[in-house]
Amino acid sequence: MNMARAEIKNHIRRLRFEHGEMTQQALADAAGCTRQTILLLEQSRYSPSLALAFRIARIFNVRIDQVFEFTES
Amino acid sequence: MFPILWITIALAAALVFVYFSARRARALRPPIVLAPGEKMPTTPMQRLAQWALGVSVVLALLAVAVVVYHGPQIYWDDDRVRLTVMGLVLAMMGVLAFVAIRSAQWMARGDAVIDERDRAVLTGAPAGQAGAILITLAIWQIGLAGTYHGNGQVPMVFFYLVFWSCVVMAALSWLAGIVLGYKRQ
Repeated sequence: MNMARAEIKNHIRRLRFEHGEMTQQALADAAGCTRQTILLLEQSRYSPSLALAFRIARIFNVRIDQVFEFTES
Repeated sequence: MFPILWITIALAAALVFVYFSARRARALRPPIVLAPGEKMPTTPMQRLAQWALGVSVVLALLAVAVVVYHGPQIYWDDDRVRLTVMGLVLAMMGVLAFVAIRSAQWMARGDAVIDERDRAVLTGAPAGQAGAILITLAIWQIGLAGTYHGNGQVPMVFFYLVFWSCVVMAALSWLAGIVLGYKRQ
């Protein structure tokens, strides 16, 4: 069976700027992760756990699908 | 001379394979874009592992240098030489214990010093240990078999050297696994 290539995009960078230009460090502190993780998340180099994804969505006060987008190609 | 030649060829081939595999894997991933003047942030666990790997490599090289300088027989006969090597290896174990205790403390604290990525890197770090130990044993096997094949027996001292070299390689490969784990992402 040929599996489609899955990709998880996110809007963390845009959401940060819409929330008073929140810094990566501030978001990392609020989400309980390191700044490196936020940087890699924003550049789609890392897929977060569900717990971290929900925490980030909660910080921005939006639904999880408004932060993360799942696409298959 | 013959075993050393084979060991060198095998190690060179392994290094070339690892280099090209890493290059290919890196080319498949999107590049990390940083703002001008911005440096890739490092995590406390990453900095600790880099420091520990650096110190451990120096201690391991010193231990190897002492054994090579004096030779296996003097290492076996002279308590001072043996204790010096033991001291260097034990100091390395101390560095390793410090890393293990510090990371466990950070995990227990439950704040953002160690996050899920750090945990994933720590979990995957021992993956290379088995390979490193196998390569160490293969090098010893080729070297000892080539050198002592005619004698039909290997001096006792090499059992100790084989054991300690495996301990050192297991430690170094664990630390290298952590450092490389951050580079892979």
